[in-house]
Amino acid sequence: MNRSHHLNFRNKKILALCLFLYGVILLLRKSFLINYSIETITGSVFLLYSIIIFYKTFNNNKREVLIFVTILFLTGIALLVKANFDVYDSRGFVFTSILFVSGSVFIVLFIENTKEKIFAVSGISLILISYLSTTLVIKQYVLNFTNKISNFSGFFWPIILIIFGISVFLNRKK
Amino acid sequence: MEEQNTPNSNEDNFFDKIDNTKPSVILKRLQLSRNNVIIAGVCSGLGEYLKIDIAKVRLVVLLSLLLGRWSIAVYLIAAALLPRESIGDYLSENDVSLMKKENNRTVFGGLLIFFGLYFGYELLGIRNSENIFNLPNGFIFPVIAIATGVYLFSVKEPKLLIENDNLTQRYFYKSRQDRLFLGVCGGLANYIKTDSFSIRIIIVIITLLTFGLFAIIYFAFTLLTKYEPESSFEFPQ
Repeated sequence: MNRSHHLNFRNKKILALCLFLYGVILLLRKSFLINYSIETITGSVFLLYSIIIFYKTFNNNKREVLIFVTILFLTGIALLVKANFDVYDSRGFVFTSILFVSGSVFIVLFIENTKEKIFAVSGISLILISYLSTTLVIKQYVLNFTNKISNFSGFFWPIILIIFGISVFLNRKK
Repeated sequence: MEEQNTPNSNEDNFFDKIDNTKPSVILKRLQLSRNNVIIAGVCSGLGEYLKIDIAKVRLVVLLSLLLGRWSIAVYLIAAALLPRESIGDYLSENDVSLMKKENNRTVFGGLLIFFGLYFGYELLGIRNSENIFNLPNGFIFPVIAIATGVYLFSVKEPKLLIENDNLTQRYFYKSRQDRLFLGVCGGLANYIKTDSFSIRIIIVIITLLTFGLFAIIYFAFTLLTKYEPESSFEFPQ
């Protein structure tokens, strides 16, 4: 039996455990034994799963899994932040999060293979831009810009997603 | 002569009877697929049973989630109750990689359509109507999560797949073959062993979401990375 196949199988077992744990905690919440929000529970399970899988996958030539797990980890953090703090600008939050998550993915790819400096450059640039987007220097500009674009594209956004989805689906055999 | 021929003629009749019998009907069974599996193989089993394109079955099942969570419950019950296909088809390594690619694109495309319709619901103001089809919230979802966990935990490790572990060091290059514009997406897909078409769609979506800022990174990749070395294949003389 090969190594990557074995690793995939073990990852499924970890997913099974996390799902089981998630279900049990949600049931406990339903029966008022614990008092945490769904965002907190989901975020914590995301963190738990992603940390374990990251530890198992790192340095095993499984970059696609590393990317997925990094995104999941940061989504978990975003959920925890949203559950515990008031986010008054959700559009700006999404904008900053996407930049930060993309940057983190490139940083992880760099850590996985330190010979590829381009990933470090891209990662640091994206994280810097995400940081700058939260500071007062360009915050006002970003807010105005995102509001204008969001108002315009809000209606078309689902249509864009559906068109992309159909194109991917129709090209599945190419 | 006639007496001697009699048994022969009887034998002939016997074989004639066999020849004249209707061809044996192979019973089709609804069963879980062994080869073409994403979660449990229910959709591929259903597609094979109904002789429909498996990708279309998967898309329909995914989109049925828009009508509520019943489809998850039905899927899990089917996964638990249906028998597993006893002998899977023989698949070469190439077939397996093509199948995985098609499956990934089906799931990715299905998810994009799903989210497009989901956000479209909100715009059209019909999002609340989905509750009509929903299972009672709060209790069923944790049960579904636990059932999925138990199911995944009970699945035994299959020993059929033959796949070489390619642990050799790979480098990031812009792709020469798989290029639509400058070859960055093709190179990235090759580097992380995934589908280039999906990478292109993801980069376009991120660029749209960041109002063009991500395009800077794309051009940085274009400027700072090399094209992959040309293949050194020579025709035999």
